[in-house]
Amino acid sequence: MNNRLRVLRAERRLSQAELAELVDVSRQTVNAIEVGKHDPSLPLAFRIARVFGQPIEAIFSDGLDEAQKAAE
Amino acid sequence: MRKTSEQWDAGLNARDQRNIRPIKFYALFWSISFLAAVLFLPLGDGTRETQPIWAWLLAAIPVIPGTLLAHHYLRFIRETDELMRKLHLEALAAGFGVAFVFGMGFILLGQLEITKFTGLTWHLMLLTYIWKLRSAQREYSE
Repeated sequence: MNNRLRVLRAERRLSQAELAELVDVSRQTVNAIEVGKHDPSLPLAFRIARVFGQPIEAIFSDGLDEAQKAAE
Repeated sequence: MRKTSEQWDAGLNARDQRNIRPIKFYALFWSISFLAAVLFLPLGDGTRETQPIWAWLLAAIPVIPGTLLAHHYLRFIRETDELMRKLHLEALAAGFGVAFVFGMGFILLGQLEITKFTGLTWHLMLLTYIWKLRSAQREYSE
């Protein structure tokens, strides 16, 4: 799964630790999501989306859309 | 190794750090009481009458911190975030798997009257659990 977490976090000048506190997880979890080692659960994805004020699909994608666009 | 562990602990949120403290305390308490029991328990001949009451108490003491350790560890697992829970459950599963496979193998060896490995089951379980958890910490601590 792909995500824009690092970009969104940088735009809002949030550290991993600060975002982790906002969504009630450890800093390691935020880092693991950013580097693609861990896919967040749906409740966590909702919390992250709420922090950034964006829909989940604007932050996370399964990569299929990009693959379809590339095929076209 | 220690540096990785300290970095890892520092990245945990306040709730996890709070929940880990009693786990560390009771793990230390259990280790000391277990070591004391191993060192000071008298060697018996298998009959209950020959053992003094203090020996029974010494053997029973590790059960108390062990039970409290399990209680606090379960609470940590229940309350921690999803990645931590996954890593700990994977480590527990790996430990159980190794203990099950080797433990069963040792039972078979016991039928051949080779019994000196039987006690290793618990060591293998613990070592596998620690190895799996440490390798996960190294992988995820950035």
